[in-house]
Amino acid sequence: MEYLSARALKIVPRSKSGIHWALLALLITIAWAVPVRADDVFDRGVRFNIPASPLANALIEFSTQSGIRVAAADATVSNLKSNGLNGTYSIHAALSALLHGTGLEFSRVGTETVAIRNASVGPKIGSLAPSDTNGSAAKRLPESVAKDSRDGASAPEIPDVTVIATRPPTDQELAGDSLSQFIVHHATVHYVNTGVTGNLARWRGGRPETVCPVTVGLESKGNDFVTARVRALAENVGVPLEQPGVQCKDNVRLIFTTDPQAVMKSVEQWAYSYFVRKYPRIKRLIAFEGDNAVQGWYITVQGGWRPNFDLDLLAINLQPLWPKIMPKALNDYGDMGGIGAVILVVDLRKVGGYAIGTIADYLGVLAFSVAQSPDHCDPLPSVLDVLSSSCDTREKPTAITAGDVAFLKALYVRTGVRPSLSRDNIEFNMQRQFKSGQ
Amino acid sequence: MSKSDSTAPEVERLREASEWVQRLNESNDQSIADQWLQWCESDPLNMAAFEQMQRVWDAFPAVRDTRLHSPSTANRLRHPSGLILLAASIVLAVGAIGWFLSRPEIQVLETSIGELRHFNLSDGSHIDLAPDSRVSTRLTLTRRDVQLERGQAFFAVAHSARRPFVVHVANLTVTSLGTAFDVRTGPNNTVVMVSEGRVSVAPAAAQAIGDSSFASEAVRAGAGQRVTFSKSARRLNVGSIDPGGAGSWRNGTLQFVSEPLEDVVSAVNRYSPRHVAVSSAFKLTRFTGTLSPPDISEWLGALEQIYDVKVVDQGSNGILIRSRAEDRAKK
Repeated sequence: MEYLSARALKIVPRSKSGIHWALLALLITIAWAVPVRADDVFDRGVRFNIPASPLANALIEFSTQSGIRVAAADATVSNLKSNGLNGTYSIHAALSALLHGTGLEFSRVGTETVAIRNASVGPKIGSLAPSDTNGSAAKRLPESVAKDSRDGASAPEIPDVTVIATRPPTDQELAGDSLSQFIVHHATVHYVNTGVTGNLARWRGGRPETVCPVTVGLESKGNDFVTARVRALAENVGVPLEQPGVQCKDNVRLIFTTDPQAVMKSVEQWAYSYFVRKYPRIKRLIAFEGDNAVQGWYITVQGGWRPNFDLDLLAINLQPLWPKIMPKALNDYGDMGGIGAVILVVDLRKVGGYAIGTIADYLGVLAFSVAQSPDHCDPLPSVLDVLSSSCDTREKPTAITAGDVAFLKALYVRTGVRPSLSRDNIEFNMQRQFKSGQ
Repeated sequence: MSKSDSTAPEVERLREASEWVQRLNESNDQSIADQWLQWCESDPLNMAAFEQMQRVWDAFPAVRDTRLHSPSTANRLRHPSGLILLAASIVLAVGAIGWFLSRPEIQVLETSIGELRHFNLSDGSHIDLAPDSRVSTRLTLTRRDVQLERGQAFFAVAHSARRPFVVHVANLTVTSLGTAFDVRTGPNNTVVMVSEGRVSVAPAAAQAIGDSSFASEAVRAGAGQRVTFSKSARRLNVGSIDPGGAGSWRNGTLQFVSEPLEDVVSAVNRYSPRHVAVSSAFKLTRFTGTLSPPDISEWLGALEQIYDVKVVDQGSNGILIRSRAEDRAKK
């Protein structure tokens, strides 16, 4: 820009036509400068006066005062409030301030539009699948998965992994026996006919039953994100979580693949060498059901008798999550066992259009509770609704919901070798959380 | 029930109506107008009684103006010829006024796709008509009725305590005396946004069908408030807005708060012949935000980020906002 201006000054004294050249140069300078400034429109300072109000209104006000257009799914912004804004801020800073603490983030679309969405939902899964995904995860199983993601640095493009429920539930969503339905579909009774109340399957903590997640099958930044997001959820809701840096067995394996059959063949071979000879039915139980976008296998353990968790030595039950739960296959020791390992296989061909954060939250909920029936669509929204075929046209969450978080907090309100809360107590605990706004 | 039983309340109603006519004509106090609106809303028959008394008021300007200040009127009535003359004058005046009243001023105002127009009405009111919208006006000496047949309009109503300004839209009536407000009607919702003064919003069908639940729903909204009428739920909801936001479309920006995507798309389609459609799965999905048609490319891009949808350019068939879930299900 300075070069063009100087050149214009030199031309001026030479002739009358030089004036024209100077003007032309000036125009060129301005024309060249304007787009540069337009690119920085979000850094432009604007005087804002937005009163504390519902977030939806605050966003409209922001749009009016800044000239930036906003777009938000109502399910994302409804029931949220903004503290307002008063003063001169850049557009970027103003929007960040308005969304602070809401669990939402914005992304720029074109030059003058922002999309408001749940934070950390992130890019689409499909964009994070490596080109050699086909079969690669299978080849790495089981030994190499442990090192696949934990060694990688955190990915800069991946958004915040903080776990924040999208919005509090509405009175309508909590009406009737909504909570009871939600709990029944989210949690499976771990033991059969024990007469023990409060025996919902969960991670109990302690050396063998402390969560140590790992993700494979995406690009490294995607793997890292999913692992970090699941860890963040565990930390948020109180799931016993292995601390970073601690050597641990990968007992929550999140496998993204375009060839789930190949992955499961690998799992089967791995499992066969340890279990199938002793438990022939396992081979059938771990068979992949091709219709499901996500399938899960839970290894339940009898706690307390094996101080060092080693997957191949524990008494186990492998349990296909879909298409149906077979309680009799579960551990029937009758005492307070827990989840010892989880394998969740995600068919990339069926989730390519979903945001990575959405699927990460989905896997997180499945990893921490043996969902009895993920294909339901309860009145109280759950991130499990995302892949449910029962929700019809109801708008689906894009991240973990307040119901999911409250349920998991209640399930993990106290860990260790003791019963979980009963379903009734979990319901009571969730109600208390919603009332207190936790 | 005896005749006297049934007529007594009506007489009382007319008496009250005559008092309101007098009070409104003698004062521009907004609080009196508010009280009057409240009285009108308290019984559907009140408005009819009011209009009846307003006609009487308008029909006898000389009597009205002199009843308190002209003792000579009584003297003139003592002379038979004067009495006959006065009676004849009254009959003629009533006939003339009745004839005048029976000739309302009717206009049909319309815009095409992408066209915004400003109209001045003979009563001093103004109407800004959004693209692809249509209103018909019917102005009389006692009342100003406007039918919003489709689209959106911003009304800047000239104050006239004697002539309520009533907008009829999709089984809804919006009554004002002198206000500025915006009305938009879409496939699912009708939205009234007030930027100045107050309006009374009532489901018109309530009176017609005697639905008491409708009648109880009449609400009043002031500057900075938005009334949304859901056609399916048949309920009125009041929310807040920036008063300057009512009619923001006149400056090129459409604003939506928690409105079905189908209604948003319907509004967008008024600005461009390039038709936008939304798949049935997302028609009732709610949207909050702003956009500036006819350039909607950024808005469409944003939709792909906030919903599980894909925007498909179908060439001459327009643009389709399609559910990705449906696509996946088909695969």
